[in-house]
Amino acid sequence: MKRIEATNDFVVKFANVNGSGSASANELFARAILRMGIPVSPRNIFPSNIQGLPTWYEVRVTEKGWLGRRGGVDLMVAMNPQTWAQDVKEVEPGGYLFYDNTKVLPPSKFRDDINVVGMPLTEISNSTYSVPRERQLFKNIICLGALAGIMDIEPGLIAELFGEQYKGKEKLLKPNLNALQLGLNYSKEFLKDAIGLKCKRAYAVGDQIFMEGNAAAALGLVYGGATVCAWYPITPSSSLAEAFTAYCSKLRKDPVSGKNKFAIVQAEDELASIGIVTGAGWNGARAFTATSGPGISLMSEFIGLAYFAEIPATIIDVQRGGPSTGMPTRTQQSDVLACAYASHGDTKHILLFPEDPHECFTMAADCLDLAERLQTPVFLMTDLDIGMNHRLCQPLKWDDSRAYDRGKVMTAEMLDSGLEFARYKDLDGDGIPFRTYPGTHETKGAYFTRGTSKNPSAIYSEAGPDYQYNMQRLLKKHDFAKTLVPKPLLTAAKEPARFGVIYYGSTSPSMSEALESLASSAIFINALRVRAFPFADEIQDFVHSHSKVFVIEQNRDAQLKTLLVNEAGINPASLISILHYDGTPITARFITKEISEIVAALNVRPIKKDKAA
Amino acid sequence: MKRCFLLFALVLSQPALAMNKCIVNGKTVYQEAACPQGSVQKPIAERVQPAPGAATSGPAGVKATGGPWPKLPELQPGQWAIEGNGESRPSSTCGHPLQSLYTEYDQFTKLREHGCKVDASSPRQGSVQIWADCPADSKVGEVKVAIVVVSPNPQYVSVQYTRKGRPEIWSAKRMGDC
Repeated sequence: MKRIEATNDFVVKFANVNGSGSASANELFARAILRMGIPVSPRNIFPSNIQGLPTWYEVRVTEKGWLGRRGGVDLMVAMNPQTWAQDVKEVEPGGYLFYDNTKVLPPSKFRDDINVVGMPLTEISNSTYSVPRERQLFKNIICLGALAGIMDIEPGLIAELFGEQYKGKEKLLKPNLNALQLGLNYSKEFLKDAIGLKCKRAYAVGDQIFMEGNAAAALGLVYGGATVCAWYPITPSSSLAEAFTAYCSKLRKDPVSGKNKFAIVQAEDELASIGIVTGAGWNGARAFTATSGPGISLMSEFIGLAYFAEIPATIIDVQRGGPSTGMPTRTQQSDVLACAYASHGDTKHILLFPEDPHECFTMAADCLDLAERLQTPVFLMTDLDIGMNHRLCQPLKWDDSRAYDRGKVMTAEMLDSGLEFARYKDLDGDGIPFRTYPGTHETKGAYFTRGTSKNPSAIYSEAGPDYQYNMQRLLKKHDFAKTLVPKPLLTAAKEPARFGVIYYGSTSPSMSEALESLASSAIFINALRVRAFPFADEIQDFVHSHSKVFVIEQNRDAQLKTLLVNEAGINPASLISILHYDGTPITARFITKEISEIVAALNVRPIKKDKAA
Repeated sequence: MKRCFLLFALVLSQPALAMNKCIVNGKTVYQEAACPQGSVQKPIAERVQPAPGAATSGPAGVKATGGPWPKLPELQPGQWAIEGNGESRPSSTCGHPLQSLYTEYDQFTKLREHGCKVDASSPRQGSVQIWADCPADSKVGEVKVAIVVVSPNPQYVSVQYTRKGRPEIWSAKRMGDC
C-alpha cells in the first residue's frame, strides 16, 4: 500500500472528546516540534460546550513556514468514537490512522487505502494507573510518547516542556515523564517505522515568536496607552480582556504605591461596556472593549452616539460564526458590514484587518491613535482563528520614541491665547474638529455633548444646513482617514498576470501558500492584502489593472466585495468572490482549487513558464 | 485665529518598497525596474516583503514608504504669520515660510552617505512626511528626526518636527502681500 513519506512537512489531526485532558498533550506535541526548529501552526477546533462534544487539534508542520491550513490530513490520531467515521474519511490516501486498539474494531470501520496503526492505549494506561482521572489524562501522554518515538520527535524536548509546565509542582513531573516513557518504549518495540512522517531538527523558526492574537492585541493595547477596558465575556474575545488584565497587573501599576493605573470593568452587558468606553473616551482616557459579533449588535446604539458626538472608542471584534448565536467557537469574517456601518442613520466606521498576532499588536496600538486623531470609533477586525490559536509571527517591537497621537485637543493655554473653539467646526479642511477634555478651562472650551443634531458650536439645531454641514464634515473626516490607516500590501506575481486577488485578515497565511501552489501550475496572480477601511486608492487601481480580481472571504455574503463595490466604486463585474464559511479556517487547497477551476472555466490557457513575457 | 495641528502617520511594521506597475499585452506586472516603452507605468505604494524579517519603523510614528522623493508643498510668498508650541514663538515673516526647510530637505538624502536611514513620502496631496534615523555610530552621531508638512492650500502650512520623540508644532498662515 502507498505510504505518505514526508519529513518536516505534514498535517496531523487529533480527534478528541472535549474535557478529556487532551488539549495539554496536543499542545506539547506542537511545541516539541517547534523546539526542534520546525515551524508549526496548530489550530484548536472546539465545541461551545465545556465537556463531552468532539474537539479537534490540527497541527500543520512545515519547514517552509506556511502557517495557514493546508487542507487534508496525513495522520489522524483518532481518539473519539463519536467522530470516527468522519475522522477516518478525512485521511489522505496513503496517510495514517493512529488509534486505540484496546477494543477490537471490525474491518468495515477502516479504509483500504490508508495505513492503520493501532496501540492499546487504554490497556496500557489502565494497567499502570488506578485512579480513573489519571488513567484518562496519562493515556494522552502515553500517546504523545508513542508518537514522539515513531516520528522522531526529541523526547528530551518534551521533558523540558514538562519541566516548564510543572515548575513548582514537581510532584506532577515524575508521573508525566513515566507516562511519556511508557509510550516511547511501546513504540520502539512494536511500532518501529509504522508511520512515514518524520521530524528532523531544522533551523526554520528563526526569531519568530509563538503567540495568540488575543494576547498580542492585549499587549498592543497596553503599549498603545489604553487605561480603561470595559467588557462583557463572549467567546472568542474573552481571553483578550483577560490578557489585558494580566499585562496591566504586571506593567501598569504604580511602582511606588502599587496602585493600579488602569480600570478594568466587567460590565453587566455589552451595552454597559461600550457606554463605559464612550464615557472614558470623552473624558480623555484611552479606552476599549473586546467583543464578538453578537456584542457588536448590542453595542450599535452607543457606537452611533460615539460616531455622531465624535468620541474616540476602540472596539476589538474577534469575529466568530454568525448570525445570532451562530457558531460561537468557530471562525468567520462575517462582521465586516455590521462594523463598517454599525448603528442607524448614515454611519461609516474605521476598520483595521490584522493578519496575525504581530499585526494584532501593532494595529491595536494604532487603533487607539486613530480613534483619538479621528475622534470616532475604530474597529480591530480580528477573528477566532487569529485570536485563539498560537501562531508563529515576527517578534513584537515597540519604538520607545513613539508618542501617542492624542489628536486635536485644545488646551487651557490655547484657549487663553484667543484661539477659536467650536466643537464641531472644521478649521483646516480635514473634517476633524478640535475637542477639549472636560474641565480644561474655567470659562472657555465647554460644550454640550449630544447625539442630536447641532451646529458647529455644538448648540442644538434642527436646521437642515447645520445638519448637512455636520454630516458632510463627518464624511470628509472618513475620507481623510484613508491617509492615516494602513495601506494595502501587494504580493507581485513572478510573471505578468491577467488576474488579481484581494484578501484580508486570517486568510493571509493560506493565501500565501495558495499563490505558490498556483504559480507552480503556471497560474500567476498578483495579490493585494487589504488592511483597512476606508479603502486606499491603490485598491481601485489594482482592480482596474486586471481583467478579473478574486476576492477571498470567510463569510457567505461576500461582505468585503460589497464594501468594495459600495465604497470604492468598483464595478462588481470585475470581482469574483471565493467564499469559505463552514466555520473552519480557510485552507490553501480550497483557494487553489477554486481559483484553478474558475481560471479554467474562463478558458484561459495558463502561461507556460518558458513562454512568459 | 485658525490653527492647524498636524496629522500623524502610523508606524507600520512592514517596510514598504516602491514598485512600478506595467501593463503589457493585457497582463499586469509589478516590478522595480522601469516599464517598457508604451506600457502603463504607475508607482504602487507598498509591497509585501519577500520574507518575514525584522520590522523597522521611523521614529515618532512616521511611516516610511521608500517611494519617489516627494516634493514639498508650494506656498505663495508674502506676509506670513507663524505660531506654534515648543520653542517657536508667534512671529511674522515676509517671503516664504518653508524656505529653510526647502534647503534642508534637499540635503536630507545626503545623510544616507553618513549611515542614516532617510525616507519621505506623500500620503496625500499637500502632505509630506520625512524622517531620518541615524544610529549613534553614524558619522553624524545619533539623530532621530521626523517632519510632517501639511499644506491644504498655498496660503497655509503646518509643520510638525519630532526630535527624539518630542513633537514641536508650528503653523503659518499667509496674511497678504508684504
